[in-house]
Amino acid sequence: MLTFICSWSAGSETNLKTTYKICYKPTHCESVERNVSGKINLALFGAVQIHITAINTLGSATATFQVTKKDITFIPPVPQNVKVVPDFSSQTLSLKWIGGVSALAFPTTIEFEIQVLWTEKMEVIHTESYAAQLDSQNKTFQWSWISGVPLNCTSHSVRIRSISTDILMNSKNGSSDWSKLQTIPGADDSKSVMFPEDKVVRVGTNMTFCCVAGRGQRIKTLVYGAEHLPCSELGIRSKAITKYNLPPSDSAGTNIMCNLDPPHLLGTVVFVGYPPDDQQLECETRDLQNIVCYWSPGRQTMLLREHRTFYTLTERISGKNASCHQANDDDADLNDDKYKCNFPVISGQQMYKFLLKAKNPLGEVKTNYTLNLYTRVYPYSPSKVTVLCTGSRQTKLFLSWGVSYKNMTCQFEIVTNNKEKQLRNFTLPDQEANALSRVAVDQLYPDTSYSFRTRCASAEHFWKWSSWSESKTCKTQEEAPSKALDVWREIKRTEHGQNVLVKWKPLPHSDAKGTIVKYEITWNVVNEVGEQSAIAPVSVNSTELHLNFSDYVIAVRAVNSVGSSPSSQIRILGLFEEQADEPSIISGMPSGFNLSWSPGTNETCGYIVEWCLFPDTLDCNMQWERVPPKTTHTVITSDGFRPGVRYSISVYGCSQHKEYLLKKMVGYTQELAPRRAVKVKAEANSSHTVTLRWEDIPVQDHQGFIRGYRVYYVPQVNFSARSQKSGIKEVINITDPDVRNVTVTNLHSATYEFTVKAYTAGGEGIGEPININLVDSPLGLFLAILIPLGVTCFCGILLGIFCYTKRNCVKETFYPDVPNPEIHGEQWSVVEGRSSNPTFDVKPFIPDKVWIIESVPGKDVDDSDICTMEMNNGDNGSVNNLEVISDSGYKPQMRPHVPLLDVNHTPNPQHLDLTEQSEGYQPQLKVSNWSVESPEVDEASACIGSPTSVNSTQFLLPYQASEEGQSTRSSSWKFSSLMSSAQKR
Amino acid sequence: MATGVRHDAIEDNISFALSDCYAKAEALARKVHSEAKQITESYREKQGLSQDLNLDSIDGVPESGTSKWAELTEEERLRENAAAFAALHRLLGTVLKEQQDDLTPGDYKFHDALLSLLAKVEALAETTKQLLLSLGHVLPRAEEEREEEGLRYFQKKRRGYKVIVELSGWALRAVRDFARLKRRNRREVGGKREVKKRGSRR
Repeated sequence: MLTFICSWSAGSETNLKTTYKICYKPTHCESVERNVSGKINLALFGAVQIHITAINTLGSATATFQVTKKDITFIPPVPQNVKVVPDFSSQTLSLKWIGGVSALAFPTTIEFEIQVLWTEKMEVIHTESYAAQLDSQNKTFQWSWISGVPLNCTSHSVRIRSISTDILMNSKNGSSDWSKLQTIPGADDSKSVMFPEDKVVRVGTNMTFCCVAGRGQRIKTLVYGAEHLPCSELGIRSKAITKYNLPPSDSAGTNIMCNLDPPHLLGTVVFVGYPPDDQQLECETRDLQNIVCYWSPGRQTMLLREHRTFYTLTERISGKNASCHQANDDDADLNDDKYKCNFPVISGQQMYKFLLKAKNPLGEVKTNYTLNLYTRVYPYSPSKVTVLCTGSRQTKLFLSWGVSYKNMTCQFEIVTNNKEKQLRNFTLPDQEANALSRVAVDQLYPDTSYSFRTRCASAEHFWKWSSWSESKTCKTQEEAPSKALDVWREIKRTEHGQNVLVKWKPLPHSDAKGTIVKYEITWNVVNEVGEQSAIAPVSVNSTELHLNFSDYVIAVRAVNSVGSSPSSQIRILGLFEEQADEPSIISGMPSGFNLSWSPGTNETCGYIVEWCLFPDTLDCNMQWERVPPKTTHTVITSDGFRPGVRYSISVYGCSQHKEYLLKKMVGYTQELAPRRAVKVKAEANSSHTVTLRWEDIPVQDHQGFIRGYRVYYVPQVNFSARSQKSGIKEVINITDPDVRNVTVTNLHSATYEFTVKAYTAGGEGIGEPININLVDSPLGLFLAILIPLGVTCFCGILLGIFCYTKRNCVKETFYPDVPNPEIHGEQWSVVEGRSSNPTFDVKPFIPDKVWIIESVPGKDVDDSDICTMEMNNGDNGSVNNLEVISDSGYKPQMRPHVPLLDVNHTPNPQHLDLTEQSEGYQPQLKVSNWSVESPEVDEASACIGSPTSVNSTQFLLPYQASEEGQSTRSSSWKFSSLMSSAQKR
Repeated sequence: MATGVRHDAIEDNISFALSDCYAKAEALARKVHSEAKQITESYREKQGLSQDLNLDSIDGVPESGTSKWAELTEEERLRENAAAFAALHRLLGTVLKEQQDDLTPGDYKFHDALLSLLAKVEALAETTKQLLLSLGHVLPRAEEEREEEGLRYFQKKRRGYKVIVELSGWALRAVRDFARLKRRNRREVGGKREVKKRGSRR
């Protein structure tokens, strides 16, 4: 059964007392006095008929309703005992309330709607739903909310109401009334303040800062650092800015400043950083008495001093804390960027479980590490190392530690003075503190400085090598030289004997086994008793002996402080002349020579290859190399080999009794072109043949093997009109290097330049050109003139004879007889007045027009001095062109040297009436026939400048002539007219 | 007669000592001004403060800006200087500690610069006090140390800035004051000698 509240309106007002009766079942009626609502109990499973009867003194009225479940709204109770508790530091509002007593007998689902408002503006800033079960009990609920804006910035209010959401009820969702506003007042107006104060926040968060002005003050600006951000108003006195995604601040934090009016500055500081990021915790012991735990701080928190990270390291088995002074010291000096804590070893405890907590205002991290003490031993390097070189090949080392260790495996690093490194391993048994351990080191070289250092690690559970100990140095003792010297000789025979320069190569350190102090040289005549000796200081590598022509045995030994080397012997055969075949030519490489030879018949002790490093100098710096027995090839190399130098190499065979010359070779490591020019002499045998002869180039200038010569010849310059041409260069290649002359034939009579160049595999050398003039013989010249002359004369005579014999024919053909003119009297009549057949009046010729162009702009001076005079005598096709040389320009009185017109000339009738005929002919129409002044026109037309009409005294201008041009020509014409009139006069 | 000569010699010595003291004080004040000026800039940058920072509402720091300075006697000026430098020395010590502890931990170079300035301010305060004593003036009353706890970071920053700015101002004015005193002392010594010379001629 449910209890429903039915309410209704009373309808028309009446002053009479009215009572109501609600009947919802025929048998269930309840009376309600004065109210317009009543409670009924019924099961809500179907439609219910409800009759409400109003009764007063005048009568009654009944209203009937049919109510279903859907028509009934369930209204949950208003939350009770609502309390808001602010936490200003965390900007959190905590809300507590009691759900109220439900009218329903069973729990129902409801929702609490909570609203947060800025009280001053009554602006809802947050709405949230809180789902809950409501039952008959006075159940307490709580909810909290973190404000983005500090709570002090303005007053915040909270209200709450219930909303029915139960599906079972299947009724309309009714909501309760809001609870009373619970207000948390902001900062009062007694003074201006900023919020939040000195906050520490994580990088990347969004944060709102506000400034609350005190009484009589006004906020002017609010800035984040130097950044002006959009400002929002929280109330009349309060403004806020929000900074999104806060960047890390520096050590002094970031200022947020609020400027007020009247002038006053407020500020707050925010520290933006990261929570701890400590990681890689690792623990070990160095002395089995203390455990040291290291870790890396990871990303910097950017927070210092009171905001920095604090560490605690706890051993969880014993529950003891480690000492972390170093890590917690704000000025901690990081060792390899790591923090550390120390924990003393607990007697009898082998396993340790460490927990590291790193905490700062933004968070905490925990790291674990479990340690078995004996598996994490990182020994110290030996505290004391002593080295004692006791012999030439062995030494002893003494090591000790300040603490005791169990079995250790160790390493020696042995470094020679040549920086060669060698690592040797050894083991040490249990080591007591400060006890000396002796280690023998053998297989060393005599007379060698060694530096020793050592490091050790736990042998049973290798964890880490200790750091290297300090280096100790000692030098092994010397031994007598172990090898004989490499000795050779250079013999110079004179009249009186033989000078033998005995040379040897210093022993390498590995063979000397000590410091060589001197060399002992002994010699004696073969098969004779009596030995002579000499001492050479260590600074020299040769000694000269003056011997007679006897056979000698010479021995050389190197001596150090311990003893001397085995004797090294060479034999000198006094009367033996070394002979060898012609040296063979070998080709080398830039680095040296690859040699091979036929084995010697008597060879028993190998071969000696000898050569001079500087063959061009007096001291040729003899070098030698011993080749083992039965080996007939070797490669000799030297940095001293230079290209273009001829090296002579001798191979000696070594037998028991002597060294004998086996083979000689010459070669170049690299052939170059000859460096000296071939000197040529030329001899002209005839005007067509020249013989050239040249000398040898000195061997030292060959710089390679001469492979031949090239003869270049070229006829010298040939002068033609204004140009100079060289002849074609001819070449004769002579491939025989022994040829020293050549005859060049088929030459012409000219001057020839000859050049001879030697060439090697390295290229062609330079040449010295020589000129020779080849002239024809005088006889030939004479013949060349006389023969054509004679032929010409002969032909002339033949022609003369022919003409003479045929003279009549020639006369008739070329000079016929001319008849004499005869006039008879009746044929000659004269008519008075005008003759019908007038004779031609012969008058001196007066030119129609004279053009004298003094100068033409743009023409050369030479050209301008020559002007062409055009004379028009009226005949279309007959124009006399005269040249007037004008030295000083205009010479009007100069008569042209022109023959007068033929008196028999019959004038063309057209010329008799010029004006009548002038219209028909207009040559200027065809513009292309004449040209304007231009550099391209020929001189004559250039001088004239324009064609003229044959029947006009006007100078004809081309179409489209410029005004300027017109005026110029106009003036020219005037001048010519004047000349014409003057001439007429 | 002998007593008179001796008295003159003592007076001369005192004058010389005073002159020397003025010169030292002037040189010290000059150095303090120079260093404080340099530190002002680096302090402002390190603390992220703007150049037009309003420092009016910060109490407890002697302010160098006053219009009444010309009205003060030399004795009063010396006393004001002595009191100000003593107060500024104490405040600068606090500033240094705040920098080391909170604001710029790890910036040892900056702390050294502040420490150097602190030593000079102490010397200047002491020299000014000695001058007062030498001239027979009364020392300023020792200011009671005010415990200021719970200052926010920003307040510390601002106060530190004001201390250095004011120190620079006080030092600059002190340079002028000591220079003036030095000149006056010279004139007085010169005048006395002139009088003595004339007296001896007569």
